[in-house]
Amino acid sequence: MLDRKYKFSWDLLGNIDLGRPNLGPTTRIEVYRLMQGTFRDVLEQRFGTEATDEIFYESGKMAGQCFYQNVLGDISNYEQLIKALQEALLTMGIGVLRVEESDVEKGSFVFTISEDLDCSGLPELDYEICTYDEGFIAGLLECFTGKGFDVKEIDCWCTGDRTCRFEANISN
Amino acid sequence: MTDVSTKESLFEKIDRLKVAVGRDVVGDVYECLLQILSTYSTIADSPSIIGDIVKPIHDLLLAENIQEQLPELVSLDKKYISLFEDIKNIRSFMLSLANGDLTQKLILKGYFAGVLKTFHANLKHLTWQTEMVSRGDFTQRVHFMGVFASSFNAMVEQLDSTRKGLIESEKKYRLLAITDSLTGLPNRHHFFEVAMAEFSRAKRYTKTFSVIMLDIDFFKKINDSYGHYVGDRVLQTVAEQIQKSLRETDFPGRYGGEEFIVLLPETAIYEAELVAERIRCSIENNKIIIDNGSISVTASLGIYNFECAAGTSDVSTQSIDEIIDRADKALYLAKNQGRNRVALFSNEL
Repeated sequence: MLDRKYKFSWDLLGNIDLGRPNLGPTTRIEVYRLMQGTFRDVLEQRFGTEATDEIFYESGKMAGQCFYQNVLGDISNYEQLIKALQEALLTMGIGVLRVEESDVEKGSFVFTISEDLDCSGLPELDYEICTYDEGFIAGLLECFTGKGFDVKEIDCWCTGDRTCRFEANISN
Repeated sequence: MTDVSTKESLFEKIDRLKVAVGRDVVGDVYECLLQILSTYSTIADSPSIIGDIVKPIHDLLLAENIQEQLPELVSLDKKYISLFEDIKNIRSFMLSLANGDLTQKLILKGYFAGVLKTFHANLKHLTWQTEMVSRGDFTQRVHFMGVFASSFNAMVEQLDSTRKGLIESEKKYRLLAITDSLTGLPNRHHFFEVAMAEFSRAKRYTKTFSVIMLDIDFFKKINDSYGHYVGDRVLQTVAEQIQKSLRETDFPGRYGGEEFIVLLPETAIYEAELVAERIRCSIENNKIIIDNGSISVTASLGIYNFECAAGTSDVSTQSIDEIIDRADKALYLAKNQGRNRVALFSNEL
């Protein structure tokens, strides 16, 4: 018995093979972005911009943690993490992950994600939009290192760049 | 509009408009037009002004040396200054990239900067992947980077293939170096290496081990009677029988010619005797098929047991050569006693 109605767990993703024997597990990105975009709009109207960003970041973080636990499997070192993550993001069509900088000892990383699911091809805005991805990466890194991470998107398709760039550092 | 007649014509038109419509209405329009004409006139009369404005920007793109001093006309124009600084930063950034310096960052937004930053990010990632390969990770592959990807991936695949080939060759040559090619048993050199290690271990931990020396009886006669081909078959068959009779921890070797040797770690004399007898029976009972029928061979075996018990003064002076020599003496005893038997070393020998 759950203590809340919408408490998330991985099994809530369901059995796709069973549920969609003909249509299969994939859909159009526009559908995903339609859902995300409308969520963001309504949340902002109700709770304001800052709260909306926090909600998206926190959701992304939860997703990242669940993804690490259920998709990536046993990871024993950083190189293995990157490889598993690259493979998973490619296979699932989330984006093309590349490492720009990594200092495992300091816990400081710069990643880029090209053809990002959230933003690639969006019209130009004057702000970075991949807040959910920031949280997602933070959740992954926290599961791997056991330490809290702050992740910030510093370049985005929406700000004119052609790839999304994220800086990740251990939280103070 | 540098043509004076055209300007006068326009003024005349404005005057007529003034008269027709009334000064109040036309007044502002008139003032505006005068300002425009005045500015245009200034620019039109000084074509070099456009050139002066454009030159610093142009120089950023074309010239090696740039002037930091901006033309007076635009020196206070924030947009012009911003454009100038942005292009200057891009120029500096591109120069660093061209020199292989990936540490410089471009803190600019927008399409053009974004394209350059993507290029920069891809180069940094390629660098990181190259470092991974140099550390031995040959699973690295680059995706979606055009010719960079195909070339990099081809290189890593080739490196991996070459490395695997080298490892295989090394394994093969290592095996060749330690194996007797006829019988497949460890060769004499390798046997000594292993025996030395076991000897050191036994001394260190006060353990025991035994050595069996084996010689095929009347082998020269077999060679002379049936030829070297049959002689080789006999050697191979005896080697097989020896291996079949050993325990997992026992270590055989071809000592030379028709002699074989077996190291039995942590084996007391009575156990070694059982193993030796098993070998002897196996050889005796196995018929070797040759072209005209079959032949049987026998072997003589000598055993020496090395006991590293506390208080045994003799132990410290022994070497592996001496140990093998004692096994050989026991073998000699077996021969003298009639062959096809096992003999133990004793101090009387």
